[in-house]
Amino acid sequence: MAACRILVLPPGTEPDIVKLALDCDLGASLTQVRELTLEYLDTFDGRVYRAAARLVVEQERRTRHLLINTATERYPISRAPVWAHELPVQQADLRRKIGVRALGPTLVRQLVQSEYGILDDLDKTVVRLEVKVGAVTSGTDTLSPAPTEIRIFALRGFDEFNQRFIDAVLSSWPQAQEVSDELEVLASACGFAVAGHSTKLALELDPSMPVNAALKVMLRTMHAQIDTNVAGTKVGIDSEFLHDLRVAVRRSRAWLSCLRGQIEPHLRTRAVGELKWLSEQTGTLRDLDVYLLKLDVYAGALPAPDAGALEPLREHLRLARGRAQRALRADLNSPRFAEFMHWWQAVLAQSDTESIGQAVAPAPDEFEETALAVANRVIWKRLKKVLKQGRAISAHTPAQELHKLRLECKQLRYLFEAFSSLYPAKKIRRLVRALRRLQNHLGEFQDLEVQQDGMRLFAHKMFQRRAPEIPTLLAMGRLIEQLHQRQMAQRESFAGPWADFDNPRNTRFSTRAFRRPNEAEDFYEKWPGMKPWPSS
Amino acid sequence: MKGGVGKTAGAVNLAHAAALAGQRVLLWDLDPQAASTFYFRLRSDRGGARKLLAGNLDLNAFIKASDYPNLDLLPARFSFRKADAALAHTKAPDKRFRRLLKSFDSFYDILIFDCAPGLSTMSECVLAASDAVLIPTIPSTLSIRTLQLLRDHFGVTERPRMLPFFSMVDARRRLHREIVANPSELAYPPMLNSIPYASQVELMGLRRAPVAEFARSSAASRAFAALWSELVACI
Repeated sequence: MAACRILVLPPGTEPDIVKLALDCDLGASLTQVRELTLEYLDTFDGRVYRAAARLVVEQERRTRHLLINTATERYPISRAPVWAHELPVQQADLRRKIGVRALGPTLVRQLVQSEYGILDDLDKTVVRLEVKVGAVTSGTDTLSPAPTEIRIFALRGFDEFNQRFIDAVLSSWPQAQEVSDELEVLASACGFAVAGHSTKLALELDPSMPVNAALKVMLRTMHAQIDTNVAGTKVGIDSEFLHDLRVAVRRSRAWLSCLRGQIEPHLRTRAVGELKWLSEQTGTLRDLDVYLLKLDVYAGALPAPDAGALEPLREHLRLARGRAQRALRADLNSPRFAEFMHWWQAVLAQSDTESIGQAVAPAPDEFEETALAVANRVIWKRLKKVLKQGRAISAHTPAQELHKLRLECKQLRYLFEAFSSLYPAKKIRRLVRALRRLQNHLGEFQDLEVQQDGMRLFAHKMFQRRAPEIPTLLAMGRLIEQLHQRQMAQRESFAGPWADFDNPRNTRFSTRAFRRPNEAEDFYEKWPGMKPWPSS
Repeated sequence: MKGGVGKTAGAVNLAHAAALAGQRVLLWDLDPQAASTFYFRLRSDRGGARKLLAGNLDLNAFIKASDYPNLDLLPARFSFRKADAALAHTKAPDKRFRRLLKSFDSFYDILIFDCAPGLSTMSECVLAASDAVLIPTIPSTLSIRTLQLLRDHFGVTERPRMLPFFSMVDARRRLHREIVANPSELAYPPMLNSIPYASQVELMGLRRAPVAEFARSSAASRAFAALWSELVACI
């Protein structure tokens, strides 16, 4: 494809291409006029954008094409793709990055595209143009005028003409802007965040900020994360909305537990109670999502006849999921949920210098501790617990102990997520990465047990509705056996991830970073480059 | 070998057919008459023969995009007529020529040479560098004789494959019909598809475009497309 340069002009501009060409002693030929609707697809969290890719559905009358990255990569389609597996197989990397998230239109453009050839004195085309004039919306009904876009395609051997024409455009419209990609300009025209809603936690705390202020920042972020994901969860666009909502709930509960002294008790009691309710109400649907997501993977490991016999199970899970989705939607539409969110937002909306209510339990000087001091204390306490439990694990330790360790690791991980900005990034990242691997390993072990229990329960429930066929029951039995074998293999390979976490290097860092809590003054000597919190 | 038999029309239309089929094509106009260059509305250039042979000329800098996707042209350079004489005095001219082509390898799928009529050092170099040689052949006694002369000179080779095809076939003429019906009389087996004598081909000079661009459903356009498909299957 010829190299393309993109110039954007103010919205509504309709450039006179013939005049521009004549100004350059060239001719112009209008070769085609097309009325198009372009839908830019992405996931809720902007995975396509962050992968530096573009997915556009181009509709012209009744014909649709999927354009991937450039207009030359075009695939005829009957409808817009929703899931990664609907993209061409050549896009393996993009499919992997999209994962389980659903694609949807983020921006919709309606435009008239006029295509021109700019001609020399022999009527040879020396430059190609596309001029796009139209409107854009980000999903509301309101269309905003879109910046006019001129795409200039250089033809090999005619660079001089290409530059001459671009100079003519810039001379006629000094406010014209050259961009590498039109998406950000369009998004800006309708006030849309093109990068999507990032689910990556990026809390920026400062070592010497009061811990109360830090807690407010943490909890507000989680309140916003719950709020952002409610709409998608209610509709059930994809399973990640519910997952991200539940992560926000779990983090909030963990932080309220670890930093209980920093919030007035009755406020804490209510918040913890409502978050627990929310966690319980979302659990069933999440479990069913996971079963369905994993069923394809597990079924793929069975012989073909057994895999096919699992279809009644899949159908049972889908029906159960539908019921759970409806129940959760009712909960999220309930006055109880709305009141909690409103109340919690108001509690956290107070200024950073005020406490979240009035702390009672800790002594005044403890209450005024810095974020760093408190972080060190709570992390060190939890870390010691994890190390003690993990080091006690042997080949004969009951499975229940691994579950306990997994829960402790989770609490520790939430603390790292909250406070990692207080420590040197590279060093903390190494420790957190090892913890994540350990947690994933333990999580997989736990999940395999839950899946086995689930299969047994589903078999009973299916039998209650209508006795499943023998092949289905046999296939489920085989699946349970496979899950059990995988669980045993996970159990036996615990030592590897544990050694990645519990080793002299991590111990040295942890001891230095977390062990002595009241070191705000020494902190800046220990970690040069970290800047102090600005005093008010 | 012979002039006016449809070489340029063949080169231009086959290059266009290949480009339409999705191949990346470069057509090199080696004829000082610059007919291909004319058809694509380009200007022929001057100078550069000595630098070309010394390997000091970057041919890529002279390539021009045509008006059609996937199809570029190296326009004719009038001075290349001198290149022939210079080539004749170099050691291993075919190797020298092949070196020139290396810079195109990665970018194009197909390289088509529109050669000047007659046998010359340059055309022998082109032959040696080619996988196939398409020989437009008017169904006439003299054309058959020319093919025989070529075979006497070059013999039968795997590479390049000699591929005559009947060109400018006038189905009203009995001689044309008889020759086309008896291909075994030819020195090399001809391609199955032939190009009819057609006014659309002559109109290329006025329209300055491949036939498929202004007469897509014409017999000539369909014939070139069929010839291209057959050529792809051959090589």
